[in-house]
Amino acid sequence: MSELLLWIAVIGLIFKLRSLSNRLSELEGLRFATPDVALPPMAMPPPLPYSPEPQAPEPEPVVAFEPPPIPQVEVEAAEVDQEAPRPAVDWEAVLGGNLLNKLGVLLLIVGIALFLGYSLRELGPGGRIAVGVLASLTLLGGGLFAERREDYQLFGRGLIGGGWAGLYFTAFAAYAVPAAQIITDPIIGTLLLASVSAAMIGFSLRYRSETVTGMAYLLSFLALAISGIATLAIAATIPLAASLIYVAYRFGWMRLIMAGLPIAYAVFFLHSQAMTAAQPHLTKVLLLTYWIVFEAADVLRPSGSRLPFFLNAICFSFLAWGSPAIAASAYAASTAMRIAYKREYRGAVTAFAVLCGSAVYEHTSGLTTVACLLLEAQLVFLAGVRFQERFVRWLGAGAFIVAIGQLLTEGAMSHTREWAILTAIAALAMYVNRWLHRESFGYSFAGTALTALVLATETPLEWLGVCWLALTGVLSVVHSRTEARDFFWQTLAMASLAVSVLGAVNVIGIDQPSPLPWGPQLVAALMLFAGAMRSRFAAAAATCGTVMAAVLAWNILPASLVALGWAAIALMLFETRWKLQGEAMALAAFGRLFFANFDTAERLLTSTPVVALQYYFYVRGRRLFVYTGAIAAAALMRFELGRLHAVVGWSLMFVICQFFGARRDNRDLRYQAYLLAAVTFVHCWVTNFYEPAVFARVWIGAAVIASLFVAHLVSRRDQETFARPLFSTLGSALLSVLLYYEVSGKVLTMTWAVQGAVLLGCGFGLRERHVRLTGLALLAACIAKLFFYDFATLDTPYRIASFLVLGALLIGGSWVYTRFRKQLEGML
Amino acid sequence: MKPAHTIPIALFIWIAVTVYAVYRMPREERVGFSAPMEIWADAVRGAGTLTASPSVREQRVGDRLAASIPPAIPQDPTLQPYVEKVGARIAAHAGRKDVIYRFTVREHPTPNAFALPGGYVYVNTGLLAFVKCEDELSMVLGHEVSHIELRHTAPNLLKDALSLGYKKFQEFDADEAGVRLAVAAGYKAPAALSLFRRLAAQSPPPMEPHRPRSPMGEAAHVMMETLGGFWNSHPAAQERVRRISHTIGKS
Repeated sequence: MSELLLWIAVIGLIFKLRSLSNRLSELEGLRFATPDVALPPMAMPPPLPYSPEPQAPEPEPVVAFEPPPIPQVEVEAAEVDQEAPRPAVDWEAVLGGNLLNKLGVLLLIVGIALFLGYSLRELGPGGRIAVGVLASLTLLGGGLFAERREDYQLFGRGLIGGGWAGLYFTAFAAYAVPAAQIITDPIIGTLLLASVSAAMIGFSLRYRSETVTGMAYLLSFLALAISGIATLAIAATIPLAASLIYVAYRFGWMRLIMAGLPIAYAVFFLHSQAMTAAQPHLTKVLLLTYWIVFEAADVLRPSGSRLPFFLNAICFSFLAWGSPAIAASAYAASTAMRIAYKREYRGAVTAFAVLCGSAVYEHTSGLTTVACLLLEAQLVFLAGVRFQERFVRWLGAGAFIVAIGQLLTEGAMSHTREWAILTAIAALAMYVNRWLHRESFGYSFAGTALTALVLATETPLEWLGVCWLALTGVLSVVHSRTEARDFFWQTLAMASLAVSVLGAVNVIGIDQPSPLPWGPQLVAALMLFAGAMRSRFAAAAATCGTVMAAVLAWNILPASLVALGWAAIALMLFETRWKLQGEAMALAAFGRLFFANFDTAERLLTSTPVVALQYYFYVRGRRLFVYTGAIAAAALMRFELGRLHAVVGWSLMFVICQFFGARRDNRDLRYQAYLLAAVTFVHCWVTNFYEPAVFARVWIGAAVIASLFVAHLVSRRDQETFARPLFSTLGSALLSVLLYYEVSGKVLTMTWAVQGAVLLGCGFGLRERHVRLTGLALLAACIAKLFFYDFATLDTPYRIASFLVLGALLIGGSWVYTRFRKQLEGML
Repeated sequence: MKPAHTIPIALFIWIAVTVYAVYRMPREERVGFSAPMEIWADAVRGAGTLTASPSVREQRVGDRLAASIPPAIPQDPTLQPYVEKVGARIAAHAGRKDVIYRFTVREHPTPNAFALPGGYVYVNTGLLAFVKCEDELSMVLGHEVSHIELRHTAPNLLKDALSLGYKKFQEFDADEAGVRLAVAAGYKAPAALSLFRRLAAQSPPPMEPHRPRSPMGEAAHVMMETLGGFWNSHPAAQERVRRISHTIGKS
């Protein structure tokens, strides 16, 4: 170990040498680059914060390491020496006279130490101490002598430093090194050591040079580091470190602290391994003493850099790794002191919190750890609230994050009832914190998340959505009472989650048995509608409630009654306040009829109320539903009456539609009548007219034809102009087709001719031009058929008869036209 | 009670009473595309009727197809006259006068019968072994004659395109019309039920009906069932039995 330290020291010196050489090169370059430029006046350094005599005179430009007439001047001169351009010096002389000198002194001290420890076995302890004292005094005397001469100042100061260090270690060895022990009383040994230490450092202070004093301290620490007596080496480090702290704060030498503090802890670390096994408690006490020294210094000084604190905290925490509780206690005391002295305490309280957490992890496990962490976080937060310190509150928040993270980790491993209770308590704590400090919105989010988590783990899956809905309701009430925005967003988030779970579990049925339990569906639907009555998102809530109610109805009702259940829901929704949802449900009921009702035996019972509902919605001003009602009614007739008899129902239906459409001037009903008449026409033709049964073919066909003419008659002329021509043309055409199938063959032409003549007559009687034209068109078709078909195919008697009948009818028609010409002109 | 509330309350009571009544009575539970497909089948029938090819062409196509069928004279010489006798009795009640029905027995073990355009009806000996009485045979022949009567066998590109995948409605129509023909010829309608029940017993049993967990599951189930049925030329025997029962019940 000692060899290693020597090598480290040598390497450090080499780096120092290199940086110094670079610096000298820069200075030389500056000097030769600007030979004629006068150097600017030296900047006045700022007053040191820890200067014991602020009224000290202005500093004078002096050469570095000049023996100072006034201490403060020298201190400031040293600072100036660092910042102002150095005067040109022979860098080679500096290198040879200063650095080589220090290197030599270092090696010499090491040699003395080794000499005393190992080489002077021949001498007794007294002799060894005498040699050490002699060598040290020789170095000290030589250094003082050389220092008086300006050319040997650097060399002399190196010797002085080495002499002091040697003297210190000799004093140390006089008690602690067995080979040189001449003092057996530890108190005397410690006092001696302290005396030499004080003298050395006091002597170094005459130079007001951080470098010189730092060198002295370094050598002292080095001597202790290579010591073989752990306990006393550690103990001796304490006053040395204390003096270092004092000097550093006294003169504002922060680099001294930054180097000395870790070195002191390093000395402790080097010796603590051997000491812990034998005297573990003493080791802890000594470590605590180290910490107290540095911490007290930091507490007692009014202000300054935070670096010493952090170095102390890091080193102390590292070395106290096995005893975080003690370290936490130390920082608790430090925090209290800092608050009492009105010092910066954020770092201390942070260290306290972190170490407390470490102690919790050290001494507990499982849920106990979580509980302790939560308690710690709560206490920190409460302290932050009590003292109105934002930082402490944030610290508490951080502690909560760690605690909740641990809680979730434990929960991921196993859900126990204890875990759930602890999570619920944590959630409660979150809400309490939110109540205690209203700006801490995050706590309410965390509380809600934890509550949702508890519900998720403790509730059966089919009830989870309901429970989350209940939580949403509570949050919504809180939001409405407090107008707090965070509760609004939580309400929104929880509502989304609850609806998602309801959709996945209670609607789709993921991971659920069949059939789905209806209880959660019923409760969820009721809650959603209750929420819709109060919520800002009434439409969304009502829509979700509607879906849930629809699924509930589907779940509890037989397939053929689902449409009726949906119709009932639609009616209730429509009659309350949710018109749109009611309409959607009515449409769903309408669609359901096609898939679950029309093909069943009880279709008439189950479909009629749904059809009625469609028309009721139409009466209430929803125009779409007159079409859905008509479609459903027509489809119901198709299935209830059968393929052959459906046209009877449809005929009745289009007559009624046309009648009411014409009387009430309702265009929707009239257009339904037109469309249904066309469908009936086609269906009757392609279905009934191919049916072998006479009733289905002739009588039903006749009924349809009659209905078409009735619809023609009930149509009004002042509405759609095509209405009456449409119905009459369809009726005439269907009659012609029926005649074609029924009397096809020899007398068809005569029959059609009679039909044409009747149409012509009716056209006159009804004063309907298109009826007359239809009759004329049919007669013309008969003429064409007579000449182009019958003439070649019919037997002679039928051909003659056809000519005669058709001719007579044409003449009759011509007479009528001639006889009633004037009236006809009036009609046109 | 306000007048405005009378209608919805009455409607609600009507719905509630209906639900209660239907809930307590024995009822059919069937969810599927059968009703929409029935409506679609109406359209297909209509299109087929309006665009049916002339009888002359139908006869020509039937003659060509019949000539391409290899002869398989039955080993039992009495079968052919027997089938011709029953077939003639059925055909006497057929509506189409432009078709001459010819019944042929083929030696083949499969219990099957089929019809070709132009009045050609073929019956396998396997089917003759399967039927248990003349009434049952009359139902088979009535079914095949009905295919020709209803022009299912007539060449018609438009109808074939429209009815792609849903020819099972032609089977339902032929079943219904066949029963009517056979009954009109003096045979007993229940024979159709016994025949198709035996056929149903030979076909794989239908899947146990199970209620899906959700409306979405039901929709998916119906969709899959419909797509599965899309590729079947013949409907399930159980469904045919149900429809024939319905037809017999109505008549």
